[in-house]
Amino acid sequence: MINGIPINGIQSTGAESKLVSSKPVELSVDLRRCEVLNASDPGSLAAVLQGGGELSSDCDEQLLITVAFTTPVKLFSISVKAPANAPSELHLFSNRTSMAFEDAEGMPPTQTIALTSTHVAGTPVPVQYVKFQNVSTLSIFIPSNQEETDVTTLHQLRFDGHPIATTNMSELKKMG
Amino acid sequence: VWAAEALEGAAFYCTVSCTSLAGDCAALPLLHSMVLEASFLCVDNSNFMRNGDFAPSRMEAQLDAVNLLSGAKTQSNPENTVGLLSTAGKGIEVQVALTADVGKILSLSHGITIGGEANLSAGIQVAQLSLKHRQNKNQRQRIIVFVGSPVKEDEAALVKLGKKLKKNSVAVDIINFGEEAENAAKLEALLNAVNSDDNSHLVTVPPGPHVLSDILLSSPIIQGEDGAAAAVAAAAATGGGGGDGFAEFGVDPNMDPEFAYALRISMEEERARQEAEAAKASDGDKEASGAGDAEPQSSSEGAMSEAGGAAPRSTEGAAEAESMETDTSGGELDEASLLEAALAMSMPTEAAATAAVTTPVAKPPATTPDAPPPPRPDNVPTETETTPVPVVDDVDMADADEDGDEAMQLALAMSMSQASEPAPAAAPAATPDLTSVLSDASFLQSVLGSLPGVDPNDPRIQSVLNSAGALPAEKDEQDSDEKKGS
Repeated sequence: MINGIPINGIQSTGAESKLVSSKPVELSVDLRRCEVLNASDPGSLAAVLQGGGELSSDCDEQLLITVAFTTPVKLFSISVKAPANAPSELHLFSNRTSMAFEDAEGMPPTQTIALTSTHVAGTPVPVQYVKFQNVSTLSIFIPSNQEETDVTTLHQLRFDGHPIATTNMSELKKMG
Repeated sequence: VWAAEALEGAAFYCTVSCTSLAGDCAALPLLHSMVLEASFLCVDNSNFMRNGDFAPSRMEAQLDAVNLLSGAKTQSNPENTVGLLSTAGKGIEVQVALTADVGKILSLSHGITIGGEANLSAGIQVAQLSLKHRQNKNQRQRIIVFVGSPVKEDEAALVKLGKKLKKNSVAVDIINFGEEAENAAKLEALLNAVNSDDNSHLVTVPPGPHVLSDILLSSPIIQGEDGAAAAVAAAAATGGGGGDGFAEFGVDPNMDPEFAYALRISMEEERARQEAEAAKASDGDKEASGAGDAEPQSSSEGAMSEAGGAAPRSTEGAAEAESMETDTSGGELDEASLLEAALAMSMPTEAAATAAVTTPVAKPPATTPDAPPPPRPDNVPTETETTPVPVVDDVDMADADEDGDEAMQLALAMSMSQASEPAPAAAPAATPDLTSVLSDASFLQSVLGSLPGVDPNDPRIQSVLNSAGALPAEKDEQDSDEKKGS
């Protein structure tokens, strides 16, 4: 409605979902451009983004994950699966290239999400949709974990939303 | 086709390396540990670099090492990038941004001027910033810093810097030279702070007459953790002993099977070539003296025959003797054995001892008027013209027997001396020995008479014979082929 996309599918309740005209889909991530800082095994990021793995922090409990999407997207929600030492907060930065820890601590994030133990079972946590209307790169800074230990661990990260400016092939119809 | 080209390229490189290492092909450039890495080099260009304790100066040694390191990094993985900055001077100055072009680094590194004081922490931070903005985010980040002047920062500041680097996944290699005793403690602290799972190293170069690059070659900075890699820079610089791993060349079957195959083929080609040379040396049966070098001789003879003239002949003969030397890479002794084998085959009835004798005897006719085996310009092609020589030897033997044991003894004596000397060297050396032989007129006459196409009445022959010794007037003076009459 708002952006001219015809209504189809389920109308969900909630203030934020009124803005959404269609069901959010899982967003595909460009693994080559993704990066993680202060991880004991940087290669495990790919597994975590693709369905399941284990990403642990190295020197201290902080992690800085940079995720690049294949196309610009409107980000709707984030789902996190983690064990007991899950992140306590997620600081989201939209469209910042080459972030380091100094930048993450100095700059105000686009949004801060507080995670509780209920969230880390994989439930999607909605974001402030209006702030993430055109995201190509999303940086997630994790300052501490729920257990207050030295190591933070993640099992899975998943992003849902709508890709921008892509052709929906199923709706392509011959004119006339 | 590509395989052939790769083989050729690899074969060329292999043979070059092989010959330079006397056949030891252990040091060849190879693609080992293909870690994708962006490395930033920090060069100390403070006034301390004017010091000459590292020849020719500390600055030159550093630039040499920069060349070595950038080459090694880009060789180990073609997608690696290297950058360069200077830590002293008016301030931190990035000379070369991250690039895969080693030539750029080399050319711009020589433009660095010496002066000021080094600022280690600022240099490292600028390097870290440059690495943060690298194009390819998949590359690991590494800073390689040269420390050749006293470090101004205190240990606590360096530790804090190291922790920050570690958290940002930056590895640091420190090369401590020049003022190494003074800086040792601080740099150790920095290394311990930044080291994460052994990815960072500290190389201390004590004072002494060593080359900085050579020390770096064998250090873990180039070698990598296990030390099994790094024939890369080893081959480039000294060409000495790379890692001996699988297939004799390190891990190349795992890393690059096509390259390994090319290397194996080129090794076999080199071996086959050397075997062929050895076989060729012993294979000189049809040609008598210098069969192995008959071809270069004939080619040089052809050139000489066109030149014409008696005077050039003697020099050409000497040139040929030299060509004989240079051609037989298998060694001069091969030629002696070659001649022996040749004569043994041409004279099956002769005993081995006499065969040895005929070897030097064949040499005297060849070298008599300083002449190589007889091709005549207006005669048949040169190869066949070498064939008369064994015939000459046959006749020589018979004549020698007829003339008596004197000539034989002389020849034997010459053969003893010649057999122990390098054959080409024996050629000029034999010449003085030959004068005694040449003075034996009858022997000489028989030699010349048996040479086909030699006109004994040629004045040149006569002049030679006259100079050689007493000459009977009615002695046949034949046109000496060796003279190579125009």
